[in-house]
Amino acid sequence: MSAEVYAWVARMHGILAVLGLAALLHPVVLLRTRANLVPHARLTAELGAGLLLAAFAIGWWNYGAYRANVKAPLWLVHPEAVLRFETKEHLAAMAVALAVGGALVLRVSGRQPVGREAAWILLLCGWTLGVVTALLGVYVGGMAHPGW
Amino acid sequence: MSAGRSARWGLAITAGACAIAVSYALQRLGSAWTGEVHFTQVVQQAHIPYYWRCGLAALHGAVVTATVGLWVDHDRAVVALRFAPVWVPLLVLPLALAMVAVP
Repeated sequence: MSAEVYAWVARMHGILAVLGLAALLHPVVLLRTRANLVPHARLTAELGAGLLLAAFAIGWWNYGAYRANVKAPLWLVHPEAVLRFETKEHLAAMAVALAVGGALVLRVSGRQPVGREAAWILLLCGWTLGVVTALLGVYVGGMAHPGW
Repeated sequence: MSAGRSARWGLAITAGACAIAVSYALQRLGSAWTGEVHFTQVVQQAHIPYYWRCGLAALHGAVVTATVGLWVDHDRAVVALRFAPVWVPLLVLPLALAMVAVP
């Protein structure tokens, strides 16, 4: 993988993740404020979870290139950014599992109040961890600059 | 059970999603506890622990989902789902904080 392709893929990864988090906020709010299942809540939950899953898959694919070409040089100048990158990966794995789980729970048991409660807490935890992940991504992206 | 009303599979997926998050975090904590190759030697490693952790966590999540979905009855699933807003964050959030402390 060339450096240009790596940089484009990394940007796509970030953009998809932010779009996913924005979409996921809709069901997180609606499931708390509405008594019944609003049709669009399920749609945006699945859209948000799907976008986060796509961002995670792209990041997963790009991680090998990061590890081989970026991590070691970055460790020399900003070791704290390398450590925060690892934290970002850990939280991303947890966030995606929870967000996708929440969207699936909303699909299979969203017509029951207890199903909506479970979906809401999964989506809320996934969204919260996702926001922390995104902030860490912005931080690491800023530290891993070309260096002029 | 009509579409969207299966408490049993709702609980199964909730437990499976939590199992993935918990398994991933425990694997990372376990490797930090037992010792992992230092960051400065990453280019010398033949395999990537992150991929293994994600794969194993997904496998654990699938096993938990299938087990809960096949063995827990509807009434117990409703009770367990009712308390999901308590046990899900209790399981997941302390481990997420541990991931911040152990990168």
